[in-house]
Amino acid sequence: MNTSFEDQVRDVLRDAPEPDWAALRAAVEDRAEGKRRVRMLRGSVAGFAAAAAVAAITTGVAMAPLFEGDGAAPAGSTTSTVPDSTPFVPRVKHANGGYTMPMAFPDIAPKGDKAPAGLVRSTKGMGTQPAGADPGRNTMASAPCQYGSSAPQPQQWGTEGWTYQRAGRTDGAVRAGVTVAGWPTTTAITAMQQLDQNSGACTFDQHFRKVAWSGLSASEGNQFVVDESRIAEGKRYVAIRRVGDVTVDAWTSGSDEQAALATARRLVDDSVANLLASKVLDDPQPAEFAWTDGTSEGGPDKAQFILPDIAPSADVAGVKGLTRVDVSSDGPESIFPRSDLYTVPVLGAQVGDPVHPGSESVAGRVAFYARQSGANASLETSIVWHSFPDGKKAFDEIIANKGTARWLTAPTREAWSGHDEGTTFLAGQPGENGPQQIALRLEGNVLISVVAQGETQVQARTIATKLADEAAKNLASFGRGPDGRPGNGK
Amino acid sequence: MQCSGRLNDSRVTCVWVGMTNTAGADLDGWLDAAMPRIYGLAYALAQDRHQAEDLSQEALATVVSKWRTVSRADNPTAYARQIVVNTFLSQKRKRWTREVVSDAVVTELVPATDDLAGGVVERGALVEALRSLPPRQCTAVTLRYFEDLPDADVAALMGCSVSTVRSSIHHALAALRARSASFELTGVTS
Repeated sequence: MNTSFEDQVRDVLRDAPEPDWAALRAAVEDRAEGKRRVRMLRGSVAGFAAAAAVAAITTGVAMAPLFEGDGAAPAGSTTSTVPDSTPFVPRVKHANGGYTMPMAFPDIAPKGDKAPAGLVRSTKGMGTQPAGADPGRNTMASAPCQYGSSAPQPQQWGTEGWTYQRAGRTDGAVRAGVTVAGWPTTTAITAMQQLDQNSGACTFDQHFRKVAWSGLSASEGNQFVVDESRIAEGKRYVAIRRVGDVTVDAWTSGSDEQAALATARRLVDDSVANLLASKVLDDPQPAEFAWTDGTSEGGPDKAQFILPDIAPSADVAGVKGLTRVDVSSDGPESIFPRSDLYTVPVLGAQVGDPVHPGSESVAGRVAFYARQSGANASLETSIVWHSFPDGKKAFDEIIANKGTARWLTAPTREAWSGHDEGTTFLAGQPGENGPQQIALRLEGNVLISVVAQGETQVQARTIATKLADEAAKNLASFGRGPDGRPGNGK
Repeated sequence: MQCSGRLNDSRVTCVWVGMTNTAGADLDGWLDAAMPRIYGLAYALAQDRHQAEDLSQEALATVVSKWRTVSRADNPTAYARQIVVNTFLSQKRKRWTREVVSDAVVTELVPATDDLAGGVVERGALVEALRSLPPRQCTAVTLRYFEDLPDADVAALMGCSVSTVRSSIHHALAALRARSASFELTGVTS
């Protein structure tokens, strides 16, 4: 029974319709050429920016605004004056994963009778959140944005958003949205120009076309139609405007392009008017951001975070036949040396279960070990090490089984001689291939998790404890990074 | 950059000036071999032709644009596969501004009347069930059943443990069986 169903799954997965191979190949080559061009342009822009910065410093002359604001107000707009830039203080990341944000965005998206006809706004916004913490919220005019040291500049420092449903509908379907994003001072103009060229950190990943928005600068991308296969009408209509170093965008969908674009423009114009009326951009005040219970512990600046390889040699376990399985020859470890894995914390069979999407670590890595047992059985051991915004919180939730991810099979805790119960955990657990042992060690905010299988519980315990202890020693040997995290920056 | 057409073929091959002919030929040959495999993987994950073309274009274009570096790795196809998986999971995470429930989904569900003898279900229903899987479950199932990868390799690609892969696949297969039955809708055929 299982075999026939699994065969059917295999057949369905392998039953792809034939594409136009020549067209696909041509598209690949076009896109590759675009990527090369962007990299070259990025290098040129970076070089120019560096030279310009040096020139400004050496001459003591402040750089003039790159954009005159008189073009930023569209005809018929609800406002006529927008600033060229916004004096934001730089965003600061704290060791606990929190931030000092340049500003908390006010509630600006129109609601109630101010909302466009037929749309009802969500009661609350998503909350001002640091960009990079949740890639799903890191967008510009609905185009996904890259974030991190290897991504193009400029990059947003934070976003806030509101959603709209159709009036009278109870299916929960989102039909429109408003997003406001903050950019480092003087950089939003560049971001808008890059959007116009579909380059930079935020680029459309689906077919799109630009639509003129009368009264706005032609050098900035302000209005788009994006093919969107996931929505009923197949298109997303987006409008975006820049106010100093804040961008405000709105999307909607519909069968009538002109009406949909008009709705998006109105959402943006009204939101911009509310933003300006709030006066918060005149003197933006820094705001603290902290992860709260019940929300994801996001991965701030994950692309900048590097976890070293702390997996010990299999020899330290002292178990004959145990070897480290080299999965890196297939690519991922060597090609992605930076731990930028979009994973929930993984711990044996517990966390990472997609049914319980749990907290997200800053970074994580994994190593595997195996030992042949008998003719066919392979006893496996894995070490997963993650860095969390708050390692103690993650550790305590896992031990108490109170996190968003839960044990699938309850472990039985055992004493671990010479180890602090507050930061270590040793337990036996029934495994698929027999005895299984779990050993956890929290080192700073890095949680080392070993799940070891053995022919006996004693053997599994030996492997788990020795590998965990040795991995902790290896981690300590890397020292601490500038933000106090073990292993950071190596 | 130098580009040239190929006899009896509409494709155009471009190589960077300074790149040896051998490298250009290698890239050309690799692309010929990798394209069906990467597109197939992308389609298996997305179950949507447009998304599959987009995913495979992105992965293949990334490799092509970095060929001089990537070709030094043992297996450029594995790199492209990793990009497909990462991009698929990343796109699935961009949910709040990007995902809108289509009206087409709001379709009356009709309970299945056929006996699911031998666990075999209607193909169209299975496709719908695959589309409804959570992204990581879908990825684990695809890497095991499409790519025939060992669980350790699936775990490495997804950045999780072998145990997690196995539990994900276990849950996915259970969900596929249940949802295939529920998704046997009026009008949905193979």
